[in-house]
Parts: sequence; C-alpha cells; structure tokens
Amino acid sequence: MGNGLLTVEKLRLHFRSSKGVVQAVDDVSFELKRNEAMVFLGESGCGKTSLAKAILRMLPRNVKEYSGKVLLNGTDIMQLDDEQFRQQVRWIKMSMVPQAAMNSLNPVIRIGEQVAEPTVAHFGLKKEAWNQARDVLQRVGVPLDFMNRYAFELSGGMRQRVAIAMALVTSPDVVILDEPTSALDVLTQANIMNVLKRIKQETETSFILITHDISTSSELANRVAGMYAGQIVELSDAERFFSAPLHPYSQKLMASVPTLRQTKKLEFIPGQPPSLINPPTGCRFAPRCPVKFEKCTEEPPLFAMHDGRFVKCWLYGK
Amino acid sequence: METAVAQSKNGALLSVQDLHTWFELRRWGFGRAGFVRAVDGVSFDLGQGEAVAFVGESGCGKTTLAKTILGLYKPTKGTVIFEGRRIEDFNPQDMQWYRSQVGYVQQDPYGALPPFMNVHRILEEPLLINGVKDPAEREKRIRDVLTEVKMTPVEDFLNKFPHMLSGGQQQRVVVARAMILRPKMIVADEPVSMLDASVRVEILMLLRALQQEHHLAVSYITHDLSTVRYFSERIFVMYAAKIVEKAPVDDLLRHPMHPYTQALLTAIPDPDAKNATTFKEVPPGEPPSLVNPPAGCRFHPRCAQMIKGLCDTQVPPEFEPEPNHYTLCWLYSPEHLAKTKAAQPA
Amino acid sequence: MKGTLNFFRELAHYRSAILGLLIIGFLLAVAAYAVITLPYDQAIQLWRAGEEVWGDYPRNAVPEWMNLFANNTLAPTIVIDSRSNVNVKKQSQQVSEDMRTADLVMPFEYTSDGFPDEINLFLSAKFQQKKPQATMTWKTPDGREIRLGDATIGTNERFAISIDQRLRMKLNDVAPQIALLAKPETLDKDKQPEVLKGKYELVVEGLTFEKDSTLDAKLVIYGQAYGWAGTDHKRRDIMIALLWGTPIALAFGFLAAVGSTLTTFIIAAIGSWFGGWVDALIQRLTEINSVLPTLPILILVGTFYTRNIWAILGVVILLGIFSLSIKSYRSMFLQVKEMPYIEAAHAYGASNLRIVFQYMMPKIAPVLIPSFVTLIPTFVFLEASLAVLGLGDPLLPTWGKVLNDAYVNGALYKGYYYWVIEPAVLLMLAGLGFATIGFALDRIFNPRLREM
Repeated sequence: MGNGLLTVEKLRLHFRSSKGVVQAVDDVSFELKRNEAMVFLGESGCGKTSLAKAILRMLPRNVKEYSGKVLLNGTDIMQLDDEQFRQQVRWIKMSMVPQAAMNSLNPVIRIGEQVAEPTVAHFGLKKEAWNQARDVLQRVGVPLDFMNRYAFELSGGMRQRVAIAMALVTSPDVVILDEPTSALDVLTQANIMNVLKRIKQETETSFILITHDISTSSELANRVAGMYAGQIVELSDAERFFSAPLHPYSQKLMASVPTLRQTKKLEFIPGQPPSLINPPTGCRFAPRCPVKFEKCTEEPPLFAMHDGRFVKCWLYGK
Repeated sequence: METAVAQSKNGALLSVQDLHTWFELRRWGFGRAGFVRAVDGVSFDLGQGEAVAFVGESGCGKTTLAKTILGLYKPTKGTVIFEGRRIEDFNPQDMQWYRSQVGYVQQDPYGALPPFMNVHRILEEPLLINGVKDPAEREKRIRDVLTEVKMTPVEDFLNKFPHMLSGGQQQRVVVARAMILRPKMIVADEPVSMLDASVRVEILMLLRALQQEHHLAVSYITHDLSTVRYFSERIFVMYAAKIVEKAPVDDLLRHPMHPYTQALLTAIPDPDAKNATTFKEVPPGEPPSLVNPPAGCRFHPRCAQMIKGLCDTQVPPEFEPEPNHYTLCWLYSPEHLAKTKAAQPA
Repeated sequence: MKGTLNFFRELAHYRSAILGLLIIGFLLAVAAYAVITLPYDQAIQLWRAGEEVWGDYPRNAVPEWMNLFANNTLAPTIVIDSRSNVNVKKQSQQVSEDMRTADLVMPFEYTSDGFPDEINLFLSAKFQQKKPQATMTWKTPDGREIRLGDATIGTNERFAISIDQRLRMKLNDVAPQIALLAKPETLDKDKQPEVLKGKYELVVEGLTFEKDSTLDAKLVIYGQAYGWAGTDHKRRDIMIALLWGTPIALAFGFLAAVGSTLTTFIIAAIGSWFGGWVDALIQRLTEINSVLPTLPILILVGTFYTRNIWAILGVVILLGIFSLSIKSYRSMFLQVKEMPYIEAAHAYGASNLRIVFQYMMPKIAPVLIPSFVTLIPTFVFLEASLAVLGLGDPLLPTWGKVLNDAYVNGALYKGYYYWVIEPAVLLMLAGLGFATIGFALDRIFNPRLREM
C-alpha cells in the first residue's frame, strides 16, 4: 500500500454473541488520501458501522478479536493504549458523526457550548473553543443566534448540522460520517450534502461516508468501497463504480437503484444477506450470485486491476 | 346517499373532497391551544386499478391523509367517498365491509406484525374477523396469498414468527395480509423506506404485479420520488397539508410546475460521480408549522419566484394549465400565464 | 410443548432460578403430600381436637432433630399400654367369687440423659357398679420400690404422676418426674440431678369386684422431643399445621396473585385502549384505592365480618384490582396502543375487545409473568400476617396460626424457638423461591420486551 493519510490493513473486528462469533469486520484493507471522500456502501448488517467503530476504536464490551493495522500519517494507532488513543487520535485527528447524531445531542446544554465541548475537553481552552464553535457553526450554515438555543428548539436538519459541526470543530484530518442524511427529508438532505461538499472544497479534510443510500453518496464520493458480509468486495473510483461496477454484487446493487432522470429496468438481488455469524465459506456472495462457478467455493482474494481498482471476485482472477 | 353518488365524479373508486383532518392541541388538559392542520383541504379522485403516488416530506400530512382514507381518523371537514358512498355515513357493518375493501401496508414491517403471532395466525386474523367461517376456506386463502407474495414453499413460513423473517419477508407478510381479504384498494404508506436497496425493488415490483393482476387501486405514499415512476400512473405532490401538484408521472417529471416540485426534482440525485462536483440549488428553510401555516401559498417563504402581495396573502386555487396537470400556484393563474406569454416575445 | 421445554432450558441458565425451582418444587411436593396423606376434614378435626386425641403427646416438645444440637440425648416419649404392649405382664388370680386380683407389670427402658417434663398414668376399668381399686408402685433399676399411691378406678382415670402433690411431698419436695428417674445420690439440693438409666417397672396391683370387670393402664412418660416439628402448647403435632399450611399458603398466594394481577391487567388494557372517561374513571379509582390502607381494612373485615380464609382472599383480590400497578401497565399499554400492528388490526376491522385481548395483552403478558411470580409471596406473607394478628381462619391450620400460637404463648420468652422458626423458615423459603424465579423470569422476559 502507498502512503495515504489513513491506511487500514487487515482490520478485523469480531464480537461474541449468544449465538456465536459475529464476524462484523473481516480483513478489511483500504487507503484514504488527504481530502478524499471514500464511501462504504452496503446493505444493513454488512458491518459498515462496525468498521467505523473499529477505526475509531469505539468498541463494545463483547469484543472477540480486534486486530490489524491502522496507520494514520504513518503511525500505527493500533499500538497506542486507550488513553493515548483518546488524547492523540479520537476527535483530534479523527472524528465521527454517529448514526442518528441529531437525536443524540445533549438536551440540557446550549448548542454553542455543545459544539465547543470537544475543544474544551481536549485543550481546556474556553474562550478559544467558543470562537471555534462559532466559526464551524457558521461554516455548516447554522445561524449564530442558535448558539444559545437548546437542541429541541432546532429542526432535524439544523440538529444534524450541529452534529457535523461537533465533528469538525477540532479540525480533524478524517471525519467519519455514519448515515449522515438517512433520517432527513429530501431538501434537507441536499442542503446537508452541499455543506459537506463545501467543507471538502474549503478544507483538507478527508471523509469516510458510511451509507446504504447510493444516490446520495454520489454527492460526495471520490472513491467507493462496496461492502458485503463484513468484507470489501470492490474498491473503485466513484465514476466507474457508479457507471460500470465490476463485482456481481455491485452490479446488482447498482441495477436496483431507481433513477429519476432515466428509465431503466430495475433488478433486485434474490435471497438475503448472509448472517455474519456463519458466513458462507468461499465467496460470501456466491449463494446469491447469478454468475457463480466452481471456483467460488474458495474465498477469492482482492484482485488488483490494472486500472487501479480492486475486486474480490474470481471472475477477475488470472 | 343520492347526493353522495352525484358528487363522485366519473365513477371513481375513491373520491376525496375538500378533506380536512385537524388534531386538537390541548393545553394542560383543558381548553385548546389550537389545531394541527395535518390535512387541510385535499381533493382527488382515484380510479379502479389506478396507482397513485403521494409524494412529500415528513410532516406534510401524507400519512394522516392515508389514515383518514382508511377510516382510522375522522375527518374534521370534507368527505371520503368509496364506490359512491360516503364513509362517514357508514354504519358499523358498512365500515367492516369498507375495511375489508381497503388493504393497508405500513412502513415498518416488523412493527406492523404482532410479534407473538406466527405467519399463519397473522393471516388468519383478518379472515376470522371478516367472517370467513370455514377453516378449509381460510387455510386455502392463506396458502394462496402466501404463494402470491412468493413466500414459497408455504410450509416453510406458516409457523414462523415475525422476528424469524428478514425485513423483505416481513413486508411480504404485511402485503399478504393486506391482500387476503381481496380488497379493491391498497394504501401503502412508505412500504419500502425501511428496507435495503436490493429488497426495495423486489417489494415494489411485487406490489406493482399484484396491482396489475388484481386491477387494484393503490395509494402509494412515499418521500422518494425516484421510486415513483416505476410504480404509479399519477403523482400527487404534497406540501404542508395540501396537494400542490397533481399530474401523470411522465408529465410531472418532464415538466414540474410548482416551485416545490421543481425543488424536489433538483434535490434528488441519481447515482452519478458528477454530483460530487456540483452544488444543488435547493430552497433554504424548513417546511412550515401546521399549527400556524403561513398565509397565502404555504411555500411562499421559501419560494424564489414568489409574487409579492399575491402569494403571501391569497391562497392559490387549483389551476389546470395543461390537461390533467393541476397545480396550486399563482404562477399558473391564467392572468399570470398571459402576462409571461406577452413578455416572452418582446 | 417444545416451547415450554425451551423456556425451562432458558430458565436453567440462571442458577438462582434453579434454586427457586427446587424450593418451589419442594413446597409443591409437601403440599401434595399433605393433601394426599391427610385429607382436609381429618386435618381440621385433628387440629381442633383436644386431649382425647393428643393426650399421649408431650406438651411443647422440641423436634427430634434438636438432638443434633443438644449435648444430651433428649428424652423421647415412652408409652406403655397394657392393651397393646406385649411386654406388659398381666396376672390375675381368683380371690373370692367376684373378687380377682389384676396385676399389671409394665416394664420400660429409660436411656435418655434428660428428664421427662411430665408423667401420666391413664387407668381405665370395665365394671357395672363396683369400681376396681389399684395400688401403683414404681420399681427402679437399682431395686428401690416407691409407692406412688392408691386409687379407685373409674372408666377413665388420669393419675398425673408428675403433678401429684402428695407424691411430691413424699419425695422430699422434688418434682416426681425427676425424683422417680434420678440417681438418688444426685437428688441433694446443691447437686444437678442425673438420670439413672436402666430397666424400670411400674406395677399396678389391682383388685376387681365384679365378674367381668377388668383393669387396664397406660403409662405415658412425656419426652422432651417429638417428631419432625415438635408439639405446641396443646400437645398438637405442629407438623400437621406445617404440612397443611403449605397448600393453603400456596393456594392463597397464587389465587390472590392471579386474581389481582389479571383483573388489574385487563382493566389497565381496557382503560388505555378506550381512553376518555373510562380511563379517567379507572385512574381516579386507582388513586382512591391507593390511599386505602389494606391491612386495617382486612382487620376490620376479620374482626366484624368473617375470618374465613376464602372470604379474606376475596377481599384481598378486591382491594388489589385497582392497585397502583394499573399505572405501570397503563403506561406500557399506551405505548403498545400506538404500535403499527394495532393500527393494522384496526384497519382490517378487528373489534375493540379483540384488539384489547388478542393484540394488546399478549404483547405485555411477558412482563406480567415475573411480576406475578414475585407477587405470590407478598400474599402468602399477608395471610400469615393476618393470622399472626389473630385474624387467621378459625378452622384451618396455617403457618401464620402456628406463629400466632407461639406468639400468644410466649414461645420466644420460654425458649421454644422451634415453634417460631419452623413456620418462619417455610415462609421465607416460599418468599425466596418465588423471588429468585421472579428475578430470573424478569431477566428473560424484559430484554425480549425491549427488543420488540
């Protein structure tokens, strides 16, 4: 792998559960460059949120296995202990807008203080923190007089902007967005995506966008990682992923997206995503794959294509 | 009854006329603080076998409209006419019959199924309630409807409880339950918004197939304009408790009239990497409160083409600038159209 | 069937539940044993009987297992009956035409370290007009003979040896039951009397005056220990009350819990579904009921109306109908009421009652089960409390009544700890058993509720 901003190698996060080991993230490797937006696309339960948590080391108690390498600016942050990680990485270098963030704002703290909180917590600078909060709120399009309001006085779209502001206030290198627009209305969604685009243009920030909404993700994506059953099955630039994906799963997924501006025949993928507890051996998509062949009983590697794409499918093996 | 029949135009299956559903806001249990005007003057006709999509953002009143049609809410004003009969005149027997004629598909498939009943029982309930006394007949209809929603082999599913099914399968059971009484109309409230992309299409195609096979009228309620063209003949766009535009799907997509519809169409992306490089022209602000909606046109505070003195004071009536394409916008009043036409050549 | 099995398997994951199941299983076994071996009527008769039934039983004897804790072996009860005991030698000689001697030699082995509390000799004779006469002599293992006295014997005479004043005077003012069984050298005032172990004999030399007249005797040396549970102040075997108290306590607790929980549950469901004035009425009734003091009302009922346990049960259920748990059930039902599946049922025409009973109640029922189970001991305790207060059922032997007897007779003051401990342990076992199962059920059912 090259020397990107964030390099993830063979990251693995397994949980214990009453029914067995959940292989939520299984040997995931990718590289994120500065000021790049990478989208992790996948259906619910494919492990994309667990991936975000694994990168930011926000782990539940029932972890079975947590291994791999996460290099941020060349240092392996997996080697840091929890306290170092908290002080040096989380929210300083990498922050996150969690799923349904707009509903998890503290209801008894004013918006301004809430956005300033990460800075105060890490650097203890009250006055500066407030100024930073004001700047960042302005950037995400929250009117300044909202700083003295409480979360419940704001609409969903405004609250989501506040949550994004909280993630941006410490000027991190990487911001992870977990379904940032899924509960919002169409117009608000477009507004929020505009905000994110502007921030990406104006700053050096890199984004990891985790979503199942293919159309909306195209508003920010430079690159796309297709996830299926805890694994990356395709890693591609956005343009080719949306127009001509390689992996049969990506192809089917793209064919299932209804489009507004052109008519096409919609397809769906029969069957259901596999359980992460007992995923199929070999290629995990094989049971639902329309073009599977004998080879698919073995697990394919992530083949590197000559055009820089990666695909985990035997169809592309030499 | 006679007047009701007369009011129903061109033999529509369902005719909704000037429907208002308001909810009282109580203050401390006594007195009232006002009304939430969740549906505020909605009229439309729905023909037998026709699929219509109601599109709008959350809180625009589309779900309330659906529930009022289903008889779950009592309208504050206006009427719902089904096969020429007003549903507010129905006695309990008529209401029971009406409920068997209208199927309901809800948004959250897991929540829509009683968690303590298995699939067989879930499907048997409507039959028991609606007087299908013969067990063999019930059994046959349960098996038939499960086959119809492609849950085969039927035996694999009959004894399953909802939590043992995937989201797509749960929604099929919900569809099967809506179909089992052989209704004339289905009201589907966001039937796929909680499902994964790959399953969404499957359920929509299933609903479409059932609609066409059984010549059903379908009210498809959604916030997602992009699914509509695959699914319905006409689109009704709702904003702030009113239908602001009604048109056949292709007309509406090709030539959206209401500024709100235009904004919606702009805002919805198709998967395309070019999106990342362009900004979208979206109206600022949020939909208005339904307790104190703005005077005049409800979209005027967000509208770029607002006409001062008209849009902010007078409620626009329904104009029909093109055949079968209706809109609630002053820009399409004959006077204004004449003015713009006159201005254009010059 | 399979579901039940799975349920128990899940329950067995919790060790506390296993303990609870064992305890409840034990109590149920006891209850079944009581009902099968001692029919209801018989139990009541026995419990209400007096000396005629319980005469041979020691008064306030500790249970035999107390031997495990005592330094000396506690004296068991010794009964020698000339009518049934083969060791009793009967001798009869013709003296004149109508007069005969009737001698009874009643041997017994006394091996305990302790002295008995009481010795009675029951004499009975058959005669027409002339009562037989008898002279009683006590023979000790070391060959002393102590004359106990003479008597004219009626059909049923009791010679209370241990409280006979004349005998006591003759024995230098030492209680006869001690003097008769002690080593003579230990009977000095400053010494602790010690038992002389060995073979004793009571000789009854009788004289009958009619042709068919006979004489029989029964010697009862009342022990200090009796049976599994000991006896009470009326010589009754406490075991009867402990055994029969079990089915009564379980039935009372179960019925009261079922009655009040089910009605509360149904009322809460109906109130929250229909809303409006129905709900308001139920709420106000609940609030009024919550300030009514249960125990004083029960005391009033017990004092002025009836102490019949089933009538009290009825009052308990009545007072429990509008209990405060209506409020918590209501809040759950109000959530369920808004669930989409209820709306769906409404949309396909389910009637109000059907929605309440078939759609709302099954959803909450899982929460009901643990709270129902933990409620059972509350009512068991309530019944016991009433009995302790003297408002127990006049007929039935119950745990609470044993406690009441113990309390009234100053059991703790007099050192009859077993009398209090036995029913108390059973009460605590019942509480512990149901509580541990209830806690496990709560853990099984509540996450599932949250997941739904």
